[in-house]
Amino acid sequence: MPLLCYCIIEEGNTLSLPAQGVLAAPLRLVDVAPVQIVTSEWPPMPAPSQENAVERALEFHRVIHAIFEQVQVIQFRFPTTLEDEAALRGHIEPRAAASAETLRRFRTVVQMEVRLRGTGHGAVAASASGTEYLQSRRAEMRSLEQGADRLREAAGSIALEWRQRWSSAGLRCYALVERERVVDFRRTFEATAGSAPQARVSGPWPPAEFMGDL
Amino acid sequence: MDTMFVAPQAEDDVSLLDILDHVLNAGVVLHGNIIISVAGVDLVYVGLNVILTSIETALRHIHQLPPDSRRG
Amino acid sequence: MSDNSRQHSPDDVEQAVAQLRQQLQATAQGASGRVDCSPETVEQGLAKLVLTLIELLRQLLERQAIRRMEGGSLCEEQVEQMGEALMKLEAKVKELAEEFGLSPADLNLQLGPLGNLFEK
Repeated sequence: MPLLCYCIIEEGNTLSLPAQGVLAAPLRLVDVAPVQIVTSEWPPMPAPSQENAVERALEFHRVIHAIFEQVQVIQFRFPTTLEDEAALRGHIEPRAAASAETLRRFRTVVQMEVRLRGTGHGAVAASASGTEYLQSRRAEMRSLEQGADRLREAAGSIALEWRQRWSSAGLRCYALVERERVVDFRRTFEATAGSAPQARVSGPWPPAEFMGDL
Repeated sequence: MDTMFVAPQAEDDVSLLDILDHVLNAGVVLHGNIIISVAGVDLVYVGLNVILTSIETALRHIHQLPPDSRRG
Repeated sequence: MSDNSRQHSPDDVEQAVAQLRQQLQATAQGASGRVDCSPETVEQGLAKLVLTLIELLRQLLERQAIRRMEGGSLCEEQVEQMGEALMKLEAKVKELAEEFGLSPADLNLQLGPLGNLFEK
């Protein structure tokens, strides 16, 4: 029976699973010692007119977060589906010990994210040269990077690790933070970048950016 | 002191885009398949920013994998 | 993190835009039999998708150009050419968006003074 995979968790937990997962299918734990995989049955695709991809993604998110509130997770990208439990074991067994070690190391930390966005266009007149255009784009990039540097500095030891990269949504910053310091990180953000019109903080998220690949 | 419990991120505090971005772009990729549509649903029904970020993720994955490790 | 290191030029992208535009209309015709999908809606939805993809590629090229400019591997003339091509491509995307009844907000583009190039 096809399975939808949600996340990997340490075994021996006292987890309280949500009542149901995506498409109201019950959640089920698959034991692959020393970890467990949270799964649910993945039905054959409903007819297109009945589908609501966004709603399913939200259902997935709610499950991940209900579990993440209780224990650390290595989440799967949505939708990660496998033909059956045997296929799941085939993928996970070689990585089970390493996953357990990752979950142990990251047990008390989360990921906070800050997104810094510019105007997205060159602050030049329509008659500007190509060079002026690129220079103004460069200036905006540098200004956002400086904003990220200020934030990182202000966060100090609250951010155990820091990563950042460019995307279509602007400059995305990821901070690895102890769960108990999430509030402090938000306060730092408010004090440093909160007034910037194009700066946004979100989290806590599972620290996928820092965990690396399976 | 139990530090595991953190107040959940209320859905109205986090934009839909953030959620979809995380669900579709963060997390482990098992197959090496790059999914840029959500389970075959018409792309017109899914938020365009979400598709955009999925493609960015796809580009990153493509450049990280050596060609023969990509499985169909 | 490194950007796409393939050597596509803005001209390549612009050509792709022109081809995709033709394909958009053709596809919209074929898809118009779907429930809840008038040809206009489908066409507009596809246009929105394609144009945001183009804009993504343009941004990748732009960041790459800026890095090369800073690294000194572009001569003055190349900087000028790249900058002009990127500016024009940005304006072209906005022009196409308008043709399909999409505002810059629809594409999540933020076109400032440059957007005025093609105002009617």
